[in-house]
Amino acid sequence: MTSQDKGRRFLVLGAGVLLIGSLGVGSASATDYNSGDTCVSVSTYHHPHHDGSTDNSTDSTTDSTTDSTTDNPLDSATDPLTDALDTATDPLTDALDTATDPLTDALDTATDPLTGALDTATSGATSGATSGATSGATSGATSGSTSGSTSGSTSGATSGSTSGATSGSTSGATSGATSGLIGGLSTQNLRAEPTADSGTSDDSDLDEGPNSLTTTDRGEGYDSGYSGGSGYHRGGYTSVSCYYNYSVGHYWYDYRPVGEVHATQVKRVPSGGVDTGN
Amino acid sequence: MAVTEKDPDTKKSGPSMTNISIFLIVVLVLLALIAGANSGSSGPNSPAPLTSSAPTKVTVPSISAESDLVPTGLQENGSLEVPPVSQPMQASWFDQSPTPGEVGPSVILGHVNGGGQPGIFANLKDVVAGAQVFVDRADGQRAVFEVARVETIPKDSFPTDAVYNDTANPQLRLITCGGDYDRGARSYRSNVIVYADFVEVQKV
Repeated sequence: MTSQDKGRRFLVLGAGVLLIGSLGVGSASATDYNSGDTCVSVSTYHHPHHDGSTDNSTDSTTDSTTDSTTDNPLDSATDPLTDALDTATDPLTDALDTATDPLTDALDTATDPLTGALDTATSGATSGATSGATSGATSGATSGSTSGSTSGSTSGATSGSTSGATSGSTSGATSGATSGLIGGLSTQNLRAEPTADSGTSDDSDLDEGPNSLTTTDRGEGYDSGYSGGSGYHRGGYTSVSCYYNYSVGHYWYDYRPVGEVHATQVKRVPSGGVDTGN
Repeated sequence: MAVTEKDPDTKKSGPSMTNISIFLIVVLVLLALIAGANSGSSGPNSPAPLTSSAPTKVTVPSISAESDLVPTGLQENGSLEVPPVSQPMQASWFDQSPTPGEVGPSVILGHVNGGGQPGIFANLKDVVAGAQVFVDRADGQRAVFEVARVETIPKDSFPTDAVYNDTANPQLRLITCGGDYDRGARSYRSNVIVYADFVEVQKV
């Protein structure tokens, strides 16, 4: 075989390889539905940051309105974001809520049974309770919970006099009971825990809050019985897939082990299965 | 230095035969690839997609199911609306899906039962691949589909992507309930899903 023949053979082989390669690439790109990934990566803690044209339009119709009306931190309506600051339910606000705060109730001689039990008109008890409540309420939930729960739960009646005697008191028995009370009320101090509020977000869709979806959304907990699967793995606790639901114009969260939905021919993609029997 | 020269005839015929063989192999491989690429979507005998026209009737001869069709949409919670359970023999077409014969997955729903009576798709689970499904349309055409596969999938892992994703050709989905019955929830735990391909157009 001469070098010319070899060259010819290699030429043919090369052409064949190139043809096969190009055809393979072409067919792959023609059927690769995932290459044009339009969905977004979401997780239980990171909401979608995909804000395409459809999302904007959705915002203008269903979300912006909601934002302006319910994202107000003072609004007591139904917005989940606002609920975090809702004066009726917000743990932070409740900590200062004189109407319902157990801390305050501890000082409420009219209603609080615990205080009532101590309300025997001894000056030591009164001063002790007052100082304890005041510091707990104003100096912050953290310090309140720490000292209150520690002393109350651990020492209580036996060595309650350790802290109780300090703050309260003049009379051992009463002050000890007072500190025990404050310690026993450590639950309300613990309520100060949820401090991360994202109600200031401009767009509730993109809010970081765990339950910030609108009322029409199914929320993160939807079908949460499922775990694992082939979703995105970006920064979340579990594999999460998402799909755009045209019925509500939102990216929905979904824990189901399904692939991405690229549905343009179906105008509105239903969620879940079909209930066609009973 | 002596240079060995081969016979000119041998030199000419040997490599050329090899080249021809390689060329034939390459051609065969190309043909196989092209055929494989085409088989994934519409077959060579698939009819051209139809234009939009509301479906009027569905017939599944293999299970003796026949019903006129009413359009249904979505419920407030985003799930599929179904025909009234009091009319278990009534099938419906999901009006947000393509009409049967259009490119895309057209969705038809039917009850497995209702009100203590068997539904239009009571035996849908018994449909096998290759069975035909007819859908009559308002434009006087009948879209004929051939069942590709049948699945029974738990509702809580409903294959949304497989059912609703875009397709390259007209397809049909028949959906009903199936699997175990949850007496507490008064509902079946699974869905039976029939996937069918568009194969023919007939005149009604």
